[in-house]
Amino acid sequence: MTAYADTSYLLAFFNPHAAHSPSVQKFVTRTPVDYHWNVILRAELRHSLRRIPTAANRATAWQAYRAAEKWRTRLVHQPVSLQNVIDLAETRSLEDNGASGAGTWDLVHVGLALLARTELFLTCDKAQSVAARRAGLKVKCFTA
Amino acid sequence: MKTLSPTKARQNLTAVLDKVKRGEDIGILHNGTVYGLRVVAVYSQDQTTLTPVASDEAAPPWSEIMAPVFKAGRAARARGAKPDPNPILEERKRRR
Repeated sequence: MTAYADTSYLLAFFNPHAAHSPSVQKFVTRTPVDYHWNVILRAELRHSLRRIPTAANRATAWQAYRAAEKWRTRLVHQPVSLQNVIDLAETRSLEDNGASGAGTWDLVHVGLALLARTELFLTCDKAQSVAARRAGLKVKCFTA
Repeated sequence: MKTLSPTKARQNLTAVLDKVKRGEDIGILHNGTVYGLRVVAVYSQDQTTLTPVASDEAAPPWSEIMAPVFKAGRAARARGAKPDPNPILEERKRRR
């Protein structure tokens, strides 16, 4: 299965001792899943990995991220037109009209997931999960 | 510049390309026009510049790729360490 994971999920996936790690690790162990991957996720994740507060966890996360980047079948590369994504996020934002509590930038992830025609949307963010469900995506939201 | 006919170039293409790589100035003469051969650096403005070289080997399962992460997570939980907060969720909370 190929799923779209937003940055909150990816951070819990790579950081060994993130608050959501146990539920994310349990899911990954039980479900053979590959992730949609694009330049926005990559930039956001790399930026966020630098902000993991514990040095040892940060180092382990970077090491795992670099290992994961080698595998195109595990991180399925999605070509992205920034204009399409922003247009889609704006449309979603207008339709959502603040109902989910997610901001416009959060809806970029929902837009990217829609463009990728993903089977499953993974997040640790409740508002993001509501927005994704409202957009018609099948969602799994992880709790700490 | 040394020039070759297309037939001659085709017959010795590998050797010709090796010579070009070594810095020899070689062209192919076709219908009165010389087409120069040169080594170029490839730049791509699309997403491929940002993606790593894929391996031909079959991808291992996540449990294998993430083994050091899972191990470090188990060790941290066993020590009773306080989990790291998710900076993305905190940032989103501030933004909303």
